[in-house]
Amino acid sequence: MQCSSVTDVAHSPLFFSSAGLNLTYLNEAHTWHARTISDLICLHPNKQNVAVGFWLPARWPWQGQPSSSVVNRRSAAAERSNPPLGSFVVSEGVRLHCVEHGNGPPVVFLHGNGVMLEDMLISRVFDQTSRSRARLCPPAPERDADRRARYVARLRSTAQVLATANVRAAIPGLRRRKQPCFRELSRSSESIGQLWSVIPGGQWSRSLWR
Amino acid sequence: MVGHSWGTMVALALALDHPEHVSGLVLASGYYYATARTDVVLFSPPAIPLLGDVLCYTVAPLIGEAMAPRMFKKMFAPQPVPPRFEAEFPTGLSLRPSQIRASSEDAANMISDAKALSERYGELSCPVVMLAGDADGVVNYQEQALRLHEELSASTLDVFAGAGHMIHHADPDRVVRAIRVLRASSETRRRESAFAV
Repeated sequence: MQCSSVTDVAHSPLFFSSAGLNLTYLNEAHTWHARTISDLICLHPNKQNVAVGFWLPARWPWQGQPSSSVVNRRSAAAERSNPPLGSFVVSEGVRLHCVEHGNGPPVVFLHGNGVMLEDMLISRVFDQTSRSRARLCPPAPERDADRRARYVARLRSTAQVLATANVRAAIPGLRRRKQPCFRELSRSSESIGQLWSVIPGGQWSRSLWR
Repeated sequence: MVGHSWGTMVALALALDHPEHVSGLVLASGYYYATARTDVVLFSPPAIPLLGDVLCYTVAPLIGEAMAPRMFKKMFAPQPVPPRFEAEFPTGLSLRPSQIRASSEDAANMISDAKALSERYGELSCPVVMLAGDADGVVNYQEQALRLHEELSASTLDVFAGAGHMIHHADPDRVVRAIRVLRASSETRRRESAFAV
Protein backbone atom coordinates (compact mmCIF):
# COMPACT_ATOMS: atom_id res chain seq x y z
CA MET A 1 0.00 0.00 0.00
CA GLN A 2 1.24 3.40 -0.89
CA CYS A 3 -0.18 6.56 0.53
CA SER A 4 0.00 10.06 -0.70
CA SER A 5 0.69 12.84 1.66
CA VAL A 6 1.04 16.55 1.67
CA THR A 7 4.76 15.99 1.35
CA ASP A 8 4.32 13.97 -1.84
CA VAL A 9 2.43 16.83 -3.38
CA ALA A 10 5.55 18.92 -3.59
CA HIS A 11 7.14 16.33 -5.82
CA SER A 12 4.16 15.66 -8.04
CA PRO A 13 4.24 16.87 -11.64
CA LEU A 14 1.06 18.88 -11.13
CA PHE A 15 2.64 21.44 -8.97
CA PHE A 16 1.75 25.05 -9.53
CA SER A 17 3.64 27.99 -8.25
CA SER A 18 2.68 31.63 -8.33
CA ALA A 19 4.00 34.66 -6.53
CA GLY A 20 5.09 32.85 -3.43
CA LEU A 21 1.72 31.18 -2.93
CA ASN A 22 1.76 27.71 -4.27
CA LEU A 23 -1.27 25.78 -5.29
CA THR A 24 -0.61 22.13 -5.17
CA TYR A 25 -2.91 19.71 -6.82
CA LEU A 26 -2.52 16.11 -6.01
CA ASN A 27 -3.52 13.92 -8.88
CA GLU A 28 -4.51 10.26 -8.79
CA ALA A 29 -1.56 9.46 -6.65
CA HIS A 30 -3.59 7.55 -4.13
CA THR A 31 -3.34 3.88 -4.17
CA TRP A 32 -5.19 2.29 -1.36
CA HIS A 33 -7.06 -0.76 -0.47
CA ALA A 34 -10.54 -0.69 0.82
CA ARG A 35 -11.07 -1.93 4.29
CA THR A 36 -14.01 -4.21 4.44
CA ILE A 37 -16.82 -2.55 6.27
CA SER A 38 -19.88 -4.65 5.96
CA ASP A 39 -23.05 -3.18 4.58
CA LEU A 40 -21.76 0.33 4.24
CA ILE A 41 -21.31 2.62 1.33
CA CYS A 42 -20.01 6.05 1.79
CA LEU A 43 -18.96 9.00 -0.18
CA HIS A 44 -15.93 10.28 1.58
CA PRO A 45 -14.78 13.85 1.89
CA ASN A 46 -12.14 14.04 -0.73
CA LYS A 47 -10.27 16.73 1.00
CA GLN A 48 -6.88 15.20 0.81
CA ASN A 49 -6.61 15.59 -2.92
CA VAL A 50 -6.35 19.33 -3.07
CA ALA A 51 -3.92 21.18 -0.91
CA VAL A 52 -3.50 24.92 -0.98
CA GLY A 53 -0.74 26.52 0.95
CA PHE A 54 2.74 27.84 1.14
CA TRP A 55 5.29 25.52 -0.19
CA LEU A 56 8.58 25.59 1.59
CA PRO A 57 11.69 23.92 0.22
CA ALA A 58 11.24 20.17 0.18
CA ARG A 59 14.29 19.74 2.30
CA TRP A 60 16.01 22.01 4.67
CA PRO A 61 19.60 21.84 3.53
CA TRP A 62 20.83 21.04 7.00
CA GLN A 63 18.13 18.52 7.87
CA GLY A 64 17.32 16.32 4.94
CA GLN A 65 13.72 16.44 6.18
CA PRO A 66 10.58 17.70 4.49
CA SER A 67 9.72 21.23 5.36
CA SER A 68 6.80 22.27 7.49
CA SER A 69 7.70 18.85 8.64
CA VAL A 70 5.66 18.50 11.77
CA VAL A 71 2.33 19.14 10.09
CA ASN A 72 3.24 17.24 6.95
CA ARG A 73 4.57 14.24 8.76
CA ARG A 74 1.53 14.07 10.98
CA SER A 75 -0.80 14.35 8.00
CA ALA A 76 1.10 11.64 6.19
CA ALA A 77 0.99 9.40 9.23
CA ALA A 78 -2.75 9.98 9.61
CA GLU A 79 -3.31 9.05 5.97
CA ARG A 80 -1.15 5.98 6.28
CA SER A 81 -3.06 4.71 9.26
CA ASN A 82 -6.47 5.58 7.73
CA PRO A 83 -6.43 4.55 4.10
CA PRO A 84 -9.50 5.83 2.22
CA LEU A 85 -12.43 3.46 1.95
CA GLY A 86 -14.25 2.63 -1.25
CA SER A 87 -13.75 4.25 -4.63
CA PHE A 88 -13.79 7.61 -6.38
CA VAL A 89 -16.41 9.27 -8.55
CA VAL A 90 -14.98 11.89 -10.89
CA SER A 91 -17.09 14.54 -12.50
CA GLU A 92 -15.74 17.55 -14.32
CA GLY A 93 -12.44 17.25 -12.58
CA VAL A 94 -13.96 17.06 -9.13
CA ARG A 95 -13.35 13.85 -7.35
CA LEU A 96 -15.60 12.37 -4.71
CA HIS A 97 -14.57 9.54 -2.55
CA CYS A 98 -17.30 6.99 -2.17
CA VAL A 99 -17.90 3.67 -0.60
CA GLU A 100 -20.84 1.83 -2.03
CA HIS A 101 -22.65 -1.21 -0.94
CA GLY A 102 -25.78 -3.09 -1.77
CA ASN A 103 -28.49 -2.54 -4.29
CA GLY A 104 -31.62 -1.03 -2.80
CA PRO A 105 -32.88 2.41 -3.79
CA PRO A 106 -29.95 4.73 -3.10
CA VAL A 107 -29.85 6.73 0.09
CA VAL A 108 -27.26 9.49 0.03
CA PHE A 109 -25.86 10.61 3.36
CA LEU A 110 -24.19 13.95 3.85
CA HIS A 111 -22.21 14.36 7.00
CA GLY A 112 -21.74 17.55 8.95
CA ASN A 113 -18.89 20.01 8.95
CA GLY A 114 -15.76 19.11 10.87
CA VAL A 115 -16.33 15.38 10.77
CA MET A 116 -15.92 12.80 8.02
CA LEU A 117 -17.72 9.78 6.70
CA GLU A 118 -16.36 7.76 9.57
CA ASP A 119 -18.83 9.60 11.78
CA MET A 120 -21.74 7.94 10.01
CA LEU A 121 -19.98 4.58 9.93
CA ILE A 122 -19.32 4.71 13.63
CA SER A 123 -22.92 5.62 14.45
CA ARG A 124 -24.04 2.41 12.68
CA VAL A 125 -26.89 4.27 11.02
CA PHE A 126 -25.94 2.88 7.63
CA ASP A 127 -25.29 -0.55 8.84
CA GLN A 128 -28.83 -0.62 10.12
CA THR A 129 -30.32 1.15 7.12
CA SER A 130 -29.05 -1.55 4.80
CA ARG A 131 -30.07 -4.38 7.10
CA SER A 132 -33.61 -3.15 7.49
CA ARG A 133 -33.89 -3.07 3.73
CA ALA A 134 -32.95 -6.72 3.52
CA ARG A 135 -35.76 -7.66 5.83
CA LEU A 136 -38.33 -5.35 4.38
CA CYS A 137 -38.16 -6.07 0.72
CA PRO A 138 -36.14 -8.91 -0.72
CA PRO A 139 -36.11 -8.19 -4.45
CA ALA A 140 -36.70 -10.87 -7.05
CA PRO A 141 -33.40 -12.70 -7.62
CA GLU A 142 -33.62 -12.78 -11.42
CA ARG A 143 -33.90 -9.01 -11.50
CA ASP A 144 -30.95 -8.44 -9.19
CA ALA A 145 -28.43 -7.42 -11.77
CA ASP A 146 -30.82 -5.02 -13.51
CA ARG A 147 -32.01 -3.40 -10.35
CA ARG A 148 -28.60 -3.11 -8.94
CA ALA A 149 -27.27 -1.54 -12.10
CA ARG A 150 -30.15 0.93 -12.13
CA TYR A 151 -29.72 1.93 -8.52
CA VAL A 152 -26.00 2.26 -8.82
CA ALA A 153 -26.49 4.39 -11.91
CA ARG A 154 -28.88 6.62 -9.99
CA LEU A 155 -26.53 6.96 -7.08
CA ARG A 156 -23.67 7.75 -9.41
CA SER A 157 -25.62 10.41 -11.22
CA THR A 158 -26.56 12.01 -7.92
CA ALA A 159 -22.99 11.85 -6.81
CA GLN A 160 -21.88 13.36 -10.08
CA VAL A 161 -24.31 16.20 -9.72
CA LEU A 162 -22.96 16.76 -6.26
CA ALA A 163 -19.42 16.49 -7.49
CA THR A 164 -19.91 19.15 -10.10
CA ALA A 165 -18.55 22.46 -9.02
CA ASN A 166 -21.91 23.95 -9.93
CA VAL A 167 -23.56 22.22 -7.04
CA ARG A 168 -21.44 24.00 -4.53
CA ALA A 169 -22.45 27.07 -6.49
CA ALA A 170 -26.02 25.90 -6.08
CA ILE A 171 -25.77 26.97 -2.49
CA PRO A 172 -26.94 30.43 -3.30
CA GLY A 173 -24.41 32.31 -1.24
CA LEU A 174 -21.79 31.23 -3.71
CA ARG A 175 -23.69 32.22 -6.81
CA ARG A 176 -22.30 35.70 -6.76
CA ARG A 177 -18.90 34.38 -7.58
CA LYS A 178 -17.46 34.54 -11.04
CA GLN A 179 -16.51 31.64 -13.26
CA PRO A 180 -14.46 29.27 -11.17
CA CYS A 181 -10.75 29.71 -11.51
CA PHE A 182 -8.48 26.94 -10.41
CA ARG A 183 -8.61 28.07 -6.86
CA GLU A 184 -12.38 28.39 -6.77
CA LEU A 185 -12.67 24.95 -8.25
CA SER A 186 -10.37 23.45 -5.70
CA ARG A 187 -12.34 25.07 -2.93
CA SER A 188 -15.62 23.81 -4.27
CA SER A 189 -14.32 20.33 -4.70
CA GLU A 190 -13.23 20.24 -1.14
CA SER A 191 -16.51 21.58 0.08
CA ILE A 192 -18.67 19.34 -2.01
CA GLY A 193 -16.50 16.46 -1.06
CA GLN A 194 -18.35 16.26 2.20
CA LEU A 195 -20.79 13.61 1.42
CA TRP A 196 -21.23 9.98 1.66
CA SER A 197 -23.79 7.56 0.60
CA VAL A 198 -25.27 4.18 1.14
CA ILE A 199 -27.13 1.90 -1.14
CA PRO A 200 -28.82 -0.44 1.23
CA GLY A 201 -28.85 -3.98 0.02
CA GLY A 202 -30.19 -7.42 0.71
CA GLN A 203 -28.52 -10.65 1.70
CA TRP A 204 -27.65 -11.53 -1.85
CA SER A 205 -25.99 -8.21 -2.34
CA ARG A 206 -23.66 -8.92 0.51
CA SER A 207 -22.17 -11.76 -1.40
CA LEU A 208 -21.70 -9.41 -4.34
CA TRP A 209 -19.82 -6.87 -2.35
CA ARG A 210 -17.78 -8.99 -0.03
CA MET B 1 -31.00 12.21 0.88
CA VAL B 2 -30.00 12.17 4.51
CA GLY B 3 -28.10 15.19 5.78
CA HIS B 4 -26.65 15.83 9.19
CA SER B 5 -25.80 19.32 10.45
CA TRP B 6 -23.97 21.20 7.67
CA GLY B 7 -24.83 18.35 5.30
CA THR B 8 -28.51 19.34 5.51
CA MET B 9 -27.67 22.52 3.58
CA VAL B 10 -26.17 20.57 0.72
CA ALA B 11 -29.15 18.22 0.75
CA LEU B 12 -31.55 21.17 0.65
CA ALA B 13 -29.58 22.89 -2.12
CA LEU B 14 -29.69 19.71 -4.16
CA ALA B 15 -33.40 19.20 -3.54
CA LEU B 16 -34.11 22.78 -4.62
CA ASP B 17 -31.94 22.80 -7.73
CA HIS B 18 -32.22 19.19 -8.83
CA PRO B 19 -35.58 17.96 -7.55
CA GLU B 20 -35.42 15.06 -10.02
CA HIS B 21 -32.54 13.59 -8.01
CA VAL B 22 -34.25 13.73 -4.64
CA SER B 23 -37.31 11.76 -3.63
CA GLY B 24 -37.22 12.77 0.01
CA LEU B 25 -35.13 14.54 2.63
CA VAL B 26 -34.20 13.42 6.11
CA LEU B 27 -32.58 16.36 7.86
CA ALA B 28 -30.90 15.64 11.18
CA SER B 29 -29.79 18.44 13.53
CA GLY B 30 -29.81 20.81 10.60
CA TYR B 31 -28.94 24.45 10.30
CA TYR B 32 -31.54 26.23 8.16
CA TYR B 33 -31.74 29.89 9.14
CA ALA B 34 -28.98 32.42 9.66
CA THR B 35 -28.21 33.09 13.31
CA ALA B 36 -25.26 34.56 15.18
CA ARG B 37 -22.87 31.74 15.91
CA THR B 38 -19.72 32.03 17.97
CA ASP B 39 -18.37 28.71 16.74
CA VAL B 40 -18.39 30.09 13.19
CA VAL B 41 -16.19 33.00 14.22
CA LEU B 42 -13.94 30.56 16.01
CA PHE B 43 -13.55 28.26 13.00
CA SER B 44 -13.25 30.82 10.25
CA PRO B 45 -9.67 32.18 10.50
CA PRO B 46 -8.09 29.35 8.45
CA ALA B 47 -10.38 30.38 5.59
CA ILE B 48 -8.85 33.83 5.34
CA PRO B 49 -6.76 34.05 2.15
CA LEU B 50 -2.99 33.99 2.73
CA LEU B 51 -3.17 34.23 6.51
CA GLY B 52 -5.36 31.14 6.57
CA ASP B 53 -2.91 29.25 4.39
CA VAL B 54 -0.17 29.93 6.86
CA LEU B 55 -2.40 28.96 9.77
CA CYS B 56 -3.40 25.66 8.15
CA TYR B 57 0.19 24.56 7.79
CA THR B 58 1.40 25.81 11.13
CA VAL B 59 -0.61 26.32 14.29
CA ALA B 60 -4.13 25.34 13.20
CA PRO B 61 -3.52 21.56 13.34
CA LEU B 62 -1.97 21.93 16.76
CA ILE B 63 -4.79 24.11 18.06
CA GLY B 64 -7.23 21.69 16.50
CA GLU B 65 -5.68 18.78 18.26
CA ALA B 66 -5.79 20.56 21.58
CA MET B 67 -9.42 21.55 21.05
CA ALA B 68 -10.70 18.31 19.54
CA PRO B 69 -11.73 16.57 22.77
CA ARG B 70 -13.67 19.62 23.91
CA MET B 71 -15.30 20.01 20.48
CA PHE B 72 -16.42 16.41 20.43
CA LYS B 73 -17.74 16.74 23.95
CA LYS B 74 -19.80 19.75 22.92
CA MET B 75 -21.11 18.04 19.79
CA PHE B 76 -22.31 15.02 21.73
CA ALA B 77 -23.46 16.80 24.91
CA PRO B 78 -25.49 16.00 26.95
CA GLN B 79 -24.57 12.45 25.90
CA PRO B 80 -20.98 11.41 26.58
CA VAL B 81 -18.69 10.93 23.59
CA PRO B 82 -19.24 7.27 22.65
CA PRO B 83 -16.16 5.12 23.30
CA ARG B 84 -16.52 3.71 19.80
CA PHE B 85 -16.29 7.22 18.34
CA GLU B 86 -13.29 8.07 20.47
CA ALA B 87 -11.54 4.91 19.43
CA GLU B 88 -12.38 4.89 15.74
CA PHE B 89 -12.81 8.46 14.51
CA PRO B 90 -9.64 9.43 12.61
CA THR B 91 -9.04 12.81 14.21
CA GLY B 92 -5.64 12.94 12.53
CA LEU B 93 -7.26 13.04 9.10
CA SER B 94 -9.50 15.92 10.07
CA LEU B 95 -6.45 17.91 11.20
CA ARG B 96 -4.69 17.82 7.84
CA PRO B 97 -4.17 21.34 6.45
CA SER B 98 -6.44 20.82 3.43
CA GLN B 99 -9.19 19.45 5.64
CA ILE B 100 -8.91 22.30 8.13
CA ARG B 101 -9.03 24.76 5.26
CA ALA B 102 -12.14 23.20 3.75
CA SER B 103 -13.95 22.86 7.06
CA SER B 104 -13.25 26.47 7.93
CA GLU B 105 -14.43 27.65 4.51
CA ASP B 106 -17.65 25.76 5.05
CA ALA B 107 -17.97 27.30 8.48
CA ALA B 108 -17.22 30.78 7.17
CA ASN B 109 -19.86 30.47 4.44
CA MET B 110 -22.44 28.72 6.58
CA ILE B 111 -24.39 31.72 7.82
CA SER B 112 -24.63 33.47 4.46
CA ASP B 113 -25.44 30.18 2.73
CA ALA B 114 -28.22 29.50 5.21
CA LYS B 115 -29.60 33.00 4.73
CA ALA B 116 -29.70 32.63 0.96
CA LEU B 117 -31.13 29.11 1.10
CA SER B 118 -33.79 30.09 3.59
CA GLU B 119 -35.42 32.38 1.06
CA ARG B 120 -36.25 29.39 -1.14
CA TYR B 121 -37.65 26.80 1.26
CA GLY B 122 -41.12 27.44 -0.07
CA GLU B 123 -40.09 25.87 -3.39
CA LEU B 124 -39.37 22.47 -1.82
CA SER B 125 -41.50 19.83 -3.47
CA CYS B 126 -40.31 16.59 -1.87
CA PRO B 127 -41.33 15.22 1.53
CA VAL B 128 -39.13 16.47 4.36
CA VAL B 129 -38.53 14.73 7.68
CA MET B 130 -36.63 16.71 10.29
CA LEU B 131 -34.95 15.15 13.27
CA ALA B 132 -33.70 17.30 16.11
CA GLY B 133 -32.43 16.89 19.65
CA ASP B 134 -33.99 19.26 22.15
CA ALA B 135 -30.71 19.43 24.10
CA ASP B 136 -28.63 20.28 21.02
CA GLY B 137 -25.80 22.59 22.09
CA VAL B 138 -24.62 23.40 18.56
CA VAL B 139 -27.83 24.45 16.83
CA ASN B 140 -30.98 25.39 18.71
CA TYR B 141 -33.80 23.22 17.46
CA GLN B 142 -36.45 25.83 18.23
CA GLU B 143 -34.70 28.43 16.10
CA GLN B 144 -34.00 25.97 13.32
CA ALA B 145 -35.98 22.76 12.91
CA LEU B 146 -39.15 24.06 14.55
CA ARG B 147 -39.10 27.19 12.44
CA LEU B 148 -38.59 25.25 9.21
CA HIS B 149 -41.33 22.85 10.25
CA GLU B 150 -43.69 25.78 10.66
CA GLU B 151 -42.68 27.23 7.30
CA LEU B 152 -43.10 24.04 5.30
CA SER B 153 -46.62 22.87 4.71
CA ALA B 154 -45.84 19.17 4.50
CA SER B 155 -43.00 18.24 6.81
CA THR B 156 -42.54 15.97 9.78
CA LEU B 157 -40.61 16.98 12.86
CA ASP B 158 -39.36 14.35 15.25
CA VAL B 159 -37.82 15.78 18.41
CA PHE B 160 -35.50 13.47 20.31
CA ALA B 161 -35.91 14.27 23.99
CA GLY B 162 -32.62 14.89 25.76
CA ALA B 163 -30.51 14.25 22.65
CA GLY B 164 -27.60 16.48 21.62
CA HIS B 165 -26.31 17.48 18.19
CA MET B 166 -25.16 13.98 17.25
CA ILE B 167 -28.60 12.42 17.32
CA HIS B 168 -27.55 9.63 14.98
CA HIS B 169 -25.27 8.45 17.77
CA ALA B 170 -27.76 9.13 20.54
CA ASP B 171 -30.52 7.08 18.92
CA PRO B 172 -29.45 5.48 15.63
CA ASP B 173 -32.48 3.18 15.56
CA ARG B 174 -34.86 6.10 15.50
CA VAL B 175 -32.94 7.77 12.68
CA VAL B 176 -32.97 4.55 10.69
CA ARG B 177 -36.69 4.21 11.28
CA ALA B 178 -37.26 7.70 9.91
CA ILE B 179 -35.23 6.87 6.80
CA ARG B 180 -37.14 3.62 6.30
CA VAL B 181 -40.53 5.25 6.67
CA LEU B 182 -39.70 8.04 4.24
CA ARG B 183 -38.23 5.64 1.73
CA ALA B 184 -41.19 3.32 1.93
CA SER B 185 -43.59 6.21 1.33
CA SER B 186 -41.59 7.57 -1.58
CA GLU B 187 -41.42 4.09 -3.13
CA THR B 188 -45.17 3.81 -2.81
CA ARG B 189 -45.64 7.22 -4.37
CA ARG B 190 -43.37 6.32 -7.26
CA ARG B 191 -45.19 3.07 -7.87
CA GLU B 192 -48.54 4.85 -7.76
CA SER B 193 -47.44 7.53 -10.19
CA ALA B 194 -46.00 4.88 -12.51
CA PHE B 195 -49.35 3.08 -12.33
CA ALA B 196 -51.22 6.28 -13.06
CA VAL B 197 -49.13 6.89 -16.15
